[in-house]
Amino acid sequence: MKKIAICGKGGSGKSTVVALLAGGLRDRGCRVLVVDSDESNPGIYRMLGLEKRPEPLLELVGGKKKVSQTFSESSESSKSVLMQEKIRTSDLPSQYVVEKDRIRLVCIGKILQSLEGCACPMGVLNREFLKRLSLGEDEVALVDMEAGIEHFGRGVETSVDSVLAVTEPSFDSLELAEKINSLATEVEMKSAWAILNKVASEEIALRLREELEGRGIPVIGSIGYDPEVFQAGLEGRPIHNSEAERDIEEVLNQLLRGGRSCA
Amino acid sequence: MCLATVYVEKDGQQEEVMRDVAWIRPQSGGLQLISFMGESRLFQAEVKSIDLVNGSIVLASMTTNSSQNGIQLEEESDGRNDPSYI
Repeated sequence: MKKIAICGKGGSGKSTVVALLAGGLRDRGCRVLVVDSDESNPGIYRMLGLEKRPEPLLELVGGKKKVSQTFSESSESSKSVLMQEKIRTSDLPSQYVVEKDRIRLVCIGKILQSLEGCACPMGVLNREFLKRLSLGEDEVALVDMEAGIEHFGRGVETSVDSVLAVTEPSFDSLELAEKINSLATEVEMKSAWAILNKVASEEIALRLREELEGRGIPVIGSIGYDPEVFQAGLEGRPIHNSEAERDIEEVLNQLLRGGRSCA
Repeated sequence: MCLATVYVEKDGQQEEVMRDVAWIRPQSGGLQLISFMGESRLFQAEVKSIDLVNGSIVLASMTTNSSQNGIQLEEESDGRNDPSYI
């Protein structure tokens, strides 16, 4: 469970789940690395209570425009930390990591301009960074993925241990969770679960669980609809004192295999 | 995916030689393939086909040499760096 990709439909609450898991794992003694793999949305740093974004790792190789020059000139800069066989978080230059309270954030890259081309290079960098990422015994990486399933096509999930499909109460979200589970099986993922989010009642939770488990998808936990999550999202700030933080405990118990701490 | 997987064709069979190829440059007597993560290899080859929809490029080649462009990579054990391989 060291490297966990959090996937799902757009708006299902992937970043919210990442922030909740990060806080819960930190409180249980884990060192947490959040990998912002969302090429579009910029705000995960605010949800984690960080004051600024890290520089994207894509800039370590010169950004999309200069990366060609970087590799063609065989310069010192081409010997970037990203080409190491094993990368520890501490190997990364400080501007590429933002940290607070044992939660660190790195960012793969963002789409910056119209007509700049596709995000495939970011997908490759994400896959290779995660593959080479070397975590300590008490360290967990949470990967906040781009919405949808294109990252499976880029092979990003071949570099993680587990997949969590964030599933909200909608038929589309259920169908996508099933597709994510199927794709995870294709790459022989060690574990793949669904996590319910924005669930307004026990009845809806039960119905979703039955539906998912009927499709062969294990459900690792359920986060209720919580006005505090909505309010925090509206204000662009971390979640505080919410039911959602209590709901995530069930998920943490399973991720840590019943253990109370990372240590 | 936009980045290509490159295959070499020999005796009617295609064998994958490099993934995530981002740049291909003509070099003396061949083509230099460079992956997005910096792996560089030189093939005495010509392009047989390019399929941009499926991200695959097929080369027809006679020999191959390896260069690492200043980046340490594990030596492959299947003889791919042997000039007589292809």
